[in-house]
Amino acid sequence: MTSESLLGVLGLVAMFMPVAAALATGIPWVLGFTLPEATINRTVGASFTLALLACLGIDVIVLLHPGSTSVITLAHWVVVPSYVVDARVVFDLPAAVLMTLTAMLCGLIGAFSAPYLHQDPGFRRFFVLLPLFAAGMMAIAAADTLDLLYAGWEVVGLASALLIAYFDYREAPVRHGLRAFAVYRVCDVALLAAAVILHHHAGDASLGKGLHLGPDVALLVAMLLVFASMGKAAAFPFTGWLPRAMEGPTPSSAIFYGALSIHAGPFLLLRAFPLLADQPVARGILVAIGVVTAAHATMVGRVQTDVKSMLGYASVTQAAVILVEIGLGFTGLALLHITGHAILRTWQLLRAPSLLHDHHELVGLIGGGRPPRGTLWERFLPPALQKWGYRVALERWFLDDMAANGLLGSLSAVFRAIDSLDRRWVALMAGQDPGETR
Amino acid sequence: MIALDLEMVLVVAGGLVLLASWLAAYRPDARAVGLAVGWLVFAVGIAVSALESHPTGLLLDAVSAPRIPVVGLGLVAVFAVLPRRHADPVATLAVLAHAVAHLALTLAPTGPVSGGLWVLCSALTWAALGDPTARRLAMPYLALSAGAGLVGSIFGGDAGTWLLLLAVAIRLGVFPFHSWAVASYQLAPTTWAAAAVAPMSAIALVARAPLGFEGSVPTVLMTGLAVAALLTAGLAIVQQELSRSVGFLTASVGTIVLLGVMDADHIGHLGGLLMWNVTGLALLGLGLVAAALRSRNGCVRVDRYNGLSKQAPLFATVFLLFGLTAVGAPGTADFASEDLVLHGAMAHHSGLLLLFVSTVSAQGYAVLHLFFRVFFGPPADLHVPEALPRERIALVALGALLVTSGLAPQLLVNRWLAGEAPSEVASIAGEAP
Repeated sequence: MTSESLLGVLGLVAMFMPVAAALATGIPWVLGFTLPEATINRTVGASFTLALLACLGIDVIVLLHPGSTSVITLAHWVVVPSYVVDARVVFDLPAAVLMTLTAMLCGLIGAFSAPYLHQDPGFRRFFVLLPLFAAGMMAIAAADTLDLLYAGWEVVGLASALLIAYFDYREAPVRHGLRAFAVYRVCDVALLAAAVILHHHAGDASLGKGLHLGPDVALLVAMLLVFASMGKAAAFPFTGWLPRAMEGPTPSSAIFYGALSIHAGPFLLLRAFPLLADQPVARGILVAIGVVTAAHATMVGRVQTDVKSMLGYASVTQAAVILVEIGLGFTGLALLHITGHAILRTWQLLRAPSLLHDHHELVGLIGGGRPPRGTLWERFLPPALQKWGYRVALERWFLDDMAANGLLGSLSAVFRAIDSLDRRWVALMAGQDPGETR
Repeated sequence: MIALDLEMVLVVAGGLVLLASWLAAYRPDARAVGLAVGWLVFAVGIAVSALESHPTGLLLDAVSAPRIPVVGLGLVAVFAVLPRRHADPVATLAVLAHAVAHLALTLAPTGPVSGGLWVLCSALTWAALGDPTARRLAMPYLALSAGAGLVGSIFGGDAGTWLLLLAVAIRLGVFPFHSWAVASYQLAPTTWAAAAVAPMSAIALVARAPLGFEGSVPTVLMTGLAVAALLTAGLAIVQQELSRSVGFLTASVGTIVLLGVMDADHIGHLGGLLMWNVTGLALLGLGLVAAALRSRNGCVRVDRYNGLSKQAPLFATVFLLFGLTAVGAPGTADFASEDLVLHGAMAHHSGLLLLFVSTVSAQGYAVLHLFFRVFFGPPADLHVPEALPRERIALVALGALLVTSGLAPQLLVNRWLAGEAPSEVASIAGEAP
């Protein structure tokens, strides 16, 4: 067996283990059977262990044989004359990195969540959504076509929204899950459009390798990909969903903001970098977006009053820096940055519930409180500007107000006006009082 | 395709004899009759698929043949979920006749025959609504649709194409002709409204007739349809009541299907045909879940959270499944068809593509918005018992079928490609598709 074929086998094992786990926990749940928690733990744990072992095997092969790549066409999903949609995967270094992170962190979070959510009403739902989320991430990591990547992208988005709304007996988490999904959908428009445009102009939606596109089309595709990455990366001005997503259980927060899904955006751009490489305009815009997002997130994060929100904004800051690195062409650095940041942030978020304990322990060890932060820069600013900056940061640059009272408010008003007219028309035609059709 | 087929006649005749014997012997209730007819249509559809030659005079081809089992399955689902108090014989007969008449329309060649069948279908749609107020509202719309379809079928040409398009747009509830279809979900029993509107049977009139217009007309027309679909998707989000919201969503998706089917681009047209069959079942499933919830507790408001997932987890699961299938989520059969329709749109104008994907995105948001509002959040003061065994079997089976067909959409595509473009099928504007 050659290294390429072994790479392919291991890659497929790693990809399909989360799918198997999702089916094993999901089908009984849908059919109304109550699996014991221990069975669920063992099933999910075993699948992630196998996936991780396979990923480590991939890592070894990729490290021992630099440049090793295995491309496998899983299926010709749709074939009609002059149009083919392939489900094609590639196992190479970038895929190995994200797949290993996914298997390792999802397995870790599965193990962490078993006692954390013990006897919680949503325990079984969580252990359906966790492997589903992992399956989506694996598809993003290994996709060689934008079609398959889009499929994984959508699965991750849906699983994220459902996990944010995990505590579904309260209104706020549900509302915030929907808000996150809305942002994802807005940005997904661009990804889907990019896939169709690639099919139309290049006959294939391969992620950038060997595609011959005209200059205008290439720029359009690059811009669409940049826009698509902004939703999951919570880039400016789409950062608003992130603090609200903290309503989810801590284990899922750890996956979303710190580790995996927030890096899906940068990873998309890494994968599709051949499409960006010759587009200085798109790359310049990407750098600008990254800089503004980093400034916004670091400023807003400093005035947050809870640790999960602070860590969330810190994650956005780092993701924005990664976007800058990609825009500047440092793709290797970006991949390294994703790896380190994912591991660190997962650890921080998982320790978040024990923050006070850790803080007291630290204070005890160093023999006193830590010095206050931020005084150095504040000395250079006049007091009025300090107050203004604090208020702006506290209001998150007023992005939420602008969204609610600006575009979304206007759209909602238009739709409600049309609906009101329609109800009156229906009442008139049906010979009813207008109030009856409400 | 044109040879007289003895086996086919025997299958249909045998089925009818069995049905008649059963009716005479047991005098079953309306729901049992509906289920029996549904299964019979489904069995005939499967038998037809297995035959190599087909009866004379019928356009039993790759466009119409898959439609027969789809209609059969739809009928089975409708009558399995139908609440007992709505199972009156007149409405049952109307719904069954409505389904059979639309099948006949699918099998009929374009021209006066299809025009006559279209008028019959319109009358049966009116009858199937099963509520006097809904019928009164629908009457002018359906009359206009019947007239436009009849004249368009008889005279053909560009004017005929426009009339056919108008006729089908009214029946699908395309904005601004949506009022009757949407209000039916609220005014009539939702089960009957879903049975009459959701399967998008009206598409049969134009399924073989992609637009033959030239120049910028198709692009302008498709842009108009895309804007209409986007508007109705937005309207689905701002509704206060579940049934009405599902009605708007159905109208929005139906507009996209019409746009695909009418697309002169080969790939877009194929996507439209696929979407017609798959999305119709998904929207029907969505409507049936809304009907089941409504029959248990009256109106389900979506301007607040209801938290029904604890009481009715199966309804929650299948609602999400049907909704995601209807809007082309990955892993469902509609994902492939949507991809093809989008590709067809791209062939006209890239701006149209962006409008399209925005519509699809808004539809996806609408589905999750409804799901969260109905099934998540603090529990409202509603008593919603979980699905009965008959509902559970029908809805889970329908959902499983949609998911499995999504894993291998090429099987459906191959059927169409194998029997594609019979020589006598031409666009009604006089050009070959």
